[in-house]
Amino acid sequence: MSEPNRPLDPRVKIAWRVHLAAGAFTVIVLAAVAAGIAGVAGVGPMLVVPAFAAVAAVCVAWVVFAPEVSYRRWRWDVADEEIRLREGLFVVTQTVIPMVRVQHVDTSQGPVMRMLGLAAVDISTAARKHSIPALSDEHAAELRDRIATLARVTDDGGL
Amino acid sequence: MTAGCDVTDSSLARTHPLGVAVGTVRIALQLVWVLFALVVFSAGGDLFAGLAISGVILLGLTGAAGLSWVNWYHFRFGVTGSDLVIVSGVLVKKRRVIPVSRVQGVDIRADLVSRILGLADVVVQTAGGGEAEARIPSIPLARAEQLRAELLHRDRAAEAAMRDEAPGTDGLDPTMRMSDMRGLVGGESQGVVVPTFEYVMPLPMLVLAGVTSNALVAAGVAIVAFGFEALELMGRSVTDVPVDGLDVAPLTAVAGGALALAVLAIATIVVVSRDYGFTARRAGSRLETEAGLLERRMTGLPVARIQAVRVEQSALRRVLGLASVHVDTAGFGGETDEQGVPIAPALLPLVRASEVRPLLHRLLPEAAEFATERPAPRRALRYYVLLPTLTAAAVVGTAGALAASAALELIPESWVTIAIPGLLAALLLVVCGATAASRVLRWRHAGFGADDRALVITSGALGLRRVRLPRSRIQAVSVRQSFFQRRAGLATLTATTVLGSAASDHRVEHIDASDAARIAEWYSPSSPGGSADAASPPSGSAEAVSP
Repeated sequence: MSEPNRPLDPRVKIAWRVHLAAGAFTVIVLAAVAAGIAGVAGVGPMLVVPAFAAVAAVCVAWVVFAPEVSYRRWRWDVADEEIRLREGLFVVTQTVIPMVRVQHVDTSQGPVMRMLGLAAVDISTAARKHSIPALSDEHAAELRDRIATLARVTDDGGL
Repeated sequence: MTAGCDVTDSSLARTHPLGVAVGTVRIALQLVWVLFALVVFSAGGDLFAGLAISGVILLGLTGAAGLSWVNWYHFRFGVTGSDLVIVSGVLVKKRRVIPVSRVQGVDIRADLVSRILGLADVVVQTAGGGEAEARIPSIPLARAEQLRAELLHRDRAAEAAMRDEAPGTDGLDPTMRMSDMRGLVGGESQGVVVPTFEYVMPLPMLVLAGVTSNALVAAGVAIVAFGFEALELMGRSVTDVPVDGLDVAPLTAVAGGALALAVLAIATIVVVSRDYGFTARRAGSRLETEAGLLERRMTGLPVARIQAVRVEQSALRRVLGLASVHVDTAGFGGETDEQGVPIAPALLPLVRASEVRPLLHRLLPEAAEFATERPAPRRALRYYVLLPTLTAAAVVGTAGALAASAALELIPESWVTIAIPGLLAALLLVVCGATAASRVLRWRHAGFGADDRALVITSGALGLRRVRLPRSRIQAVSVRQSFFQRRAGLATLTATTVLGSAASDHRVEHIDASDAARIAEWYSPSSPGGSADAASPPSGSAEAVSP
């Protein structure tokens, strides 16, 4: 199976880390509160401190490594007739989207992505939306227009 | 008529005046419960109560008649130029313009009152979200069929202009074929052109469909449960208040049995009357179905809009060698049931499994051939069984252990300490056994295959479901591999199609990774064999995928 081979913009790792850090921060705060309650309730510090440390360590490790792995896994390719995507951390998914099935293409960016000068290319079929999550602004716009042009093909028939 | 949107409303027509009567009856039927309640609550009253009730009824009827007259008065419709225009609304005027080229389907529906009066509703389906259905109520049947022909004919002309391929249109005008609405009145035939094939479901099959329907099985289970409950209640009341020389239990059982039979019979009748006289016919590029005893429904479906064909067998129907055939379509906005789930029209509500293929050959030859399938490999069995069983065991074990420890603290008696671990073990065994057994069945039934036109995926544990997805209607294909699957060279294949306006995923788990990749290549337009040119299929497709 021909594998897609174009990577995302490496700055996406920063964007993902910002998002993940927000979540991780919440989890750590909740863990701290839980640890505090456990301490008051009389659970020994020998139990509470390592448990809290473990939760915090997992969170930090997740923020540090998950974007790295995800970035390395992410590959995409846009050929004349089809789009291929490969993504996933533990479960790797490869998707084929024929150009004739593309209904419309958008680019989108959140505040973090905008600051980094990144944009996502969202590819909609009649069924659902697929996304190339981060390319540089210009590249994303250019790709969007290219897909839009390529997708302007008539239907290839029915049943 | 005149082109553009400057069309004056004078070119539009009202619906049939008798529509007022139909509307009145419909509103009145909705109010009937209120009236019933009124009568019941003031039962045995005097003259004044009777007068008051009559007054209320009269007022209600007048109101209903007035309301439907106002609705009728302000409703106009017509085909002007290339648009269907519908003007409605009393306070807020609403003008709906539907380009005829956007009309996806036109149904004719008639409930009992309409049929007595020789009227029918026309429901126009359009592509796209929002208000995807427009209803023109109560016009004469002949006019309804004329309108339907008009709308569909233009639609078909546009279709034909887009591509000159129209399978099986040998001189017939399929859209002219209208149902004769075999009703109480019976519409006169409209210069009918005979369709290429027609299947009428025999009555015994209808009854069988009712008896084996899921709703009925559920009802049966509920009744049995209710019966037990009732027995228990009765039993208690008997022990509490002894009745002299009267054994209540058998009586209750008989009564319960009778009740159960009655409910089953009613449920069967409901199902049978819904599908009564079910007819599926093929007319050129359209499939038409028609059914119903009291309310007759006709649905036309362009074959080109079919996204998937499903052959389904519930556990019970599998044992009896029966199957149902459904077609998934895109874009039918309005057709949903009470829960908002889009109704997938059954092409064949129930047929013998052996008849599915011959019937499909006549009704839907484009989708009659199902590719040879290949099963999931042997080594996939443990991937099917292990993880779900362990998960079920962990969930049940944890919950059970928590409950058990709570129970032990509450009732610290010796028999409890002995009984609970035993119960817990038995529960675990049952849950794990059931999970494992169903997963083994899923592994055994899993199948997939592709020929030059379509992908076929089979799944199911006790029941079976086989779905045929034409390549040109699959929106995307994905191949997923978890860490464990990668090590075992297995993969999960997902083909996504459209159902209504949402995505519908068809999945086969844990198949050989190279097979999954082959299907992805088969789907890919850029791969050498699987180009969009379906006329030159890779001879390998079917063979390569079959064992």
